[in-house]
Amino acid sequence: MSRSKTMRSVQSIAGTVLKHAFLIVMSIISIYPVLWVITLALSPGESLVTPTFVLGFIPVPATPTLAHFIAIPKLHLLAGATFPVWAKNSIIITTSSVALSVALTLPAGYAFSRKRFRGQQASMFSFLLPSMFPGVITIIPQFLLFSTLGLVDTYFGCIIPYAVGSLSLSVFIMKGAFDSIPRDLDEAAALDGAGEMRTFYKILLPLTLPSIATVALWAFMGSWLDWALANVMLKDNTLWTLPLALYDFIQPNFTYYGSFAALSIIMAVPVFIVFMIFQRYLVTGLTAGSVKG
Amino acid sequence: MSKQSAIGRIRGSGWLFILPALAGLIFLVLYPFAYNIYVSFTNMSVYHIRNFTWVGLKNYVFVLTSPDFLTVFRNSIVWTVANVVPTVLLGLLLAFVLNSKVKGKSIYRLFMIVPWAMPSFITLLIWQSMYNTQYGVINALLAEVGIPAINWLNDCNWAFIGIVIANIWLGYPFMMIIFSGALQSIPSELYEAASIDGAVGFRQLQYVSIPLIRPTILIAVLLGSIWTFNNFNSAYLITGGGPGICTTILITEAYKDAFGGTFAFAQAATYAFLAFIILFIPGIFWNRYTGLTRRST
Amino acid sequence: MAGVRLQNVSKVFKNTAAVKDVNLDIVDGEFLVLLGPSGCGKTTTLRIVAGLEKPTTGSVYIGDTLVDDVLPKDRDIAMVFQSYALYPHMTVHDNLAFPLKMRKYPKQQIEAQVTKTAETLEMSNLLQRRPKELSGGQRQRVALGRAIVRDPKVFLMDEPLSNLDAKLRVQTRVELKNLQKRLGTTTIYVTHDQAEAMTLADRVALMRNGMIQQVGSPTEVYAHPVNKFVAGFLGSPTMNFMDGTIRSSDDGAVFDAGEFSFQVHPNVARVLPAGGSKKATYGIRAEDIEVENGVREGSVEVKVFGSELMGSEQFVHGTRGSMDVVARAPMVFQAPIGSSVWMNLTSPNAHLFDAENEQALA
Repeated sequence: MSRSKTMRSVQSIAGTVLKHAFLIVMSIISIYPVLWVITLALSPGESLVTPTFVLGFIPVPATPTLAHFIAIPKLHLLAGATFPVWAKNSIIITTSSVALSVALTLPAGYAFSRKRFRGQQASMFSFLLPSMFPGVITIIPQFLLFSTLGLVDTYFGCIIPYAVGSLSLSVFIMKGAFDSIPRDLDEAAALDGAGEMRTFYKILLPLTLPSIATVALWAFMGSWLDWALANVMLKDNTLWTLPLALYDFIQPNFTYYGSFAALSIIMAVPVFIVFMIFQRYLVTGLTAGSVKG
Repeated sequence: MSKQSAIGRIRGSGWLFILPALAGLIFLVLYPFAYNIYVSFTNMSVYHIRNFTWVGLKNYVFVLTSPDFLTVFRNSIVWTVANVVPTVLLGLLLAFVLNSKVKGKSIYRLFMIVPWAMPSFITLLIWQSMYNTQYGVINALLAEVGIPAINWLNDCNWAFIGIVIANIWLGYPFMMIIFSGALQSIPSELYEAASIDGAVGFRQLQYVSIPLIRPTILIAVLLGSIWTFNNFNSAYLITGGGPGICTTILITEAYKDAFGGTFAFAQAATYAFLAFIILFIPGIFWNRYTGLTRRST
Repeated sequence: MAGVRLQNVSKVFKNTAAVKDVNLDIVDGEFLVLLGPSGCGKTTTLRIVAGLEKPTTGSVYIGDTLVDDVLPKDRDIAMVFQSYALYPHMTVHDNLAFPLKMRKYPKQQIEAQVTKTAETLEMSNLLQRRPKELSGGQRQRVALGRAIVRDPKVFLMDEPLSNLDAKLRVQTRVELKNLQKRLGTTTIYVTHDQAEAMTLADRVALMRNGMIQQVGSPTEVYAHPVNKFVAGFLGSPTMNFMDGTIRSSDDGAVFDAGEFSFQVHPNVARVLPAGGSKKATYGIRAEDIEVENGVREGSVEVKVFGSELMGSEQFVHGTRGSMDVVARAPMVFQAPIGSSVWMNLTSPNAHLFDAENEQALA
């Protein structure tokens, strides 16, 4: 009896060690190149530097300085184009894109899961189409269309394409999320007197929170880091988003690596914050409360 | 299923629900698509910006009969498979491990999404410098272990492997997030029932986890393949498509044509449409075969 | 076939004690019901027996084997979950076969046992369906089947009938009892429904706040509750309680509830030493109260505020001052709202509980 207990303890310890070893290796691989970016951001000058190495391969700035980070908030490209402005634009556009994306995805996912209508499968498949076109190709016609609509150089010029672009994956995620909720709950709610809207808001929605978080995160990423579309749609540099400012550090004759690295890091911070917020929702146990009386 | 109409007074048919999204799709995707097809039948380029004319299938003939086409096409296919398989597997593995009993999950997760969170332009440039034959870190590390330096960027095969590795690095965080989300939606009671029924450890993965996240895996593979096929950054930024056309895939070819001096939009459009067809047809079969868009009941 | 023994089992989650020092001896073949309100610890106790939770202190024995370090799958138990926990991607057949498949039974044996179980539960025609194509009642049977198919030593059931509609629930209850008797497998069953417990149990164990209040056969716990909680939990409608003082004298004992008083039956009053008086709670069930339309000596006048007509009988609800009472009466009895009726509260089946610790006076 105690022998099998010991064996199982050994097995579980071995398992845990293995898991941690794997995770540690993957963590190192994940952040290593970024250590270089951090080094670049903390090193003086704008060229690619040769850092000093810790342990032989971890790059560390030879003469660390916060100069780049300090300079960025004060950057002035042209009248009206400063860091706070870019940040504001990015935040507005990104949050709106996320909101719009979720607003479009939720009903679509719900309809594909809970309803029947003609052409359902075909329309579902058609949501995959946007992905099948390389982004660069859709941008120019979109620009032409939006310019006739007068939406160029406006926030909407970016918000709408970002939201629509994220639909490919999002609709399928939402549909899957609704599919995984048994119809029993719908019927139970109906028997309790809830109309369709009520059922949707009070019962189905809370249960699909992890998927909604995934959809939101996905829309966020598509918008926050995008350069290609923004570059075409936002010519006025008071409307520039952070990625546009970022790529502006790449001039034809010279690339400001130091500043580029610093701004990249600044831009990455909100991503982590958003991810941490969403992790809460991604990790919610769905079983809590939904079945136990 | 007249049950549905009896219960809850269904307001609005399904079409109403998907209309906004579909409208976005039509204007922002279908229209450019149609436009793209149209352009591919013209000779639009820097020389014929306004006064382009219809040239029929001339562009297609040109592209399809060019000597490089087969190589570029083959590169694209290999590129896609070589990326999707490891990214999905790594993502699954990470999702499983981070979904099990292990301490420090939140911290590990934060590390894992780093490749995804940083703008890829700079990280890919770092990868490029890491691959430098003389000064790159990778060769330095290999030297420590006694492996001779690899000519990453100038050897045809190694260059390809190099961009694949960098792209996998960019790709697995996303897969991990998607699969983690899917795993979360499996009720823990199923695992309890399974442990009473006799399935523990890997068998739980085999009989409970994987079958239940199958739809997610399927869409991840499909979309992952589509995105990878059209992924421009990694292939272009690290090697520029070289050496020669070793690391050129369909999309970098299109970009070169569109923005690389001649502004041969028509030709770029041709490549784009071809890429679409190459993705669309297997896409339909994948959908049929795996029942991706099948209704749940 | 085996009995189950819980010895000093406790379970503490963070800062709350969900289960406090539970001792239970379940006889082989017995149908034991863990009964109690939500949060009383009954499900946690069940899960400890299953091995899904580790007890903070104490031990569990299945048969004569100490199973504290044994994995759930090796305890030779089977569990039916409240939500059934059927594998959604497998057919009914595969759901039933799964436990056998995991234990590497030979294919033929698996087929034989699955077929037999399906027949026993009358679902042979459902074998190729998936759970989502089944009704609630059918799913419940599959969950049951998955537990039966292995012929384990103990069945553990966590409110398996609570998701069924009322009529089906009652029907299934009886079938379940029948099945268990036929199979003779020790069963531990958790529920909050006292009627269910009374129907199914060989013995009932009432739990409250993690502690066992009383264990006994249904009739025993019903007729001789050991405290006010048990008395009030069992029986429908709930037992009537009134606070007051009982005084014993040479003529017998009287219960003084402030606004009224009445004689206490000698059977009930004998717990009190002669000449004594004590603050107590008087408990009497609806079926032990006689109701009359006219004044009766010794009865208490009560104003009717409604009655439940059950078809075979009725329950008359009345108020007297601050006290609500419900009494059983035949269907023909007239009790218009607002009228007065007279209830005879003197009964040999009444109970007295200590006013402070709620224990039955004995």
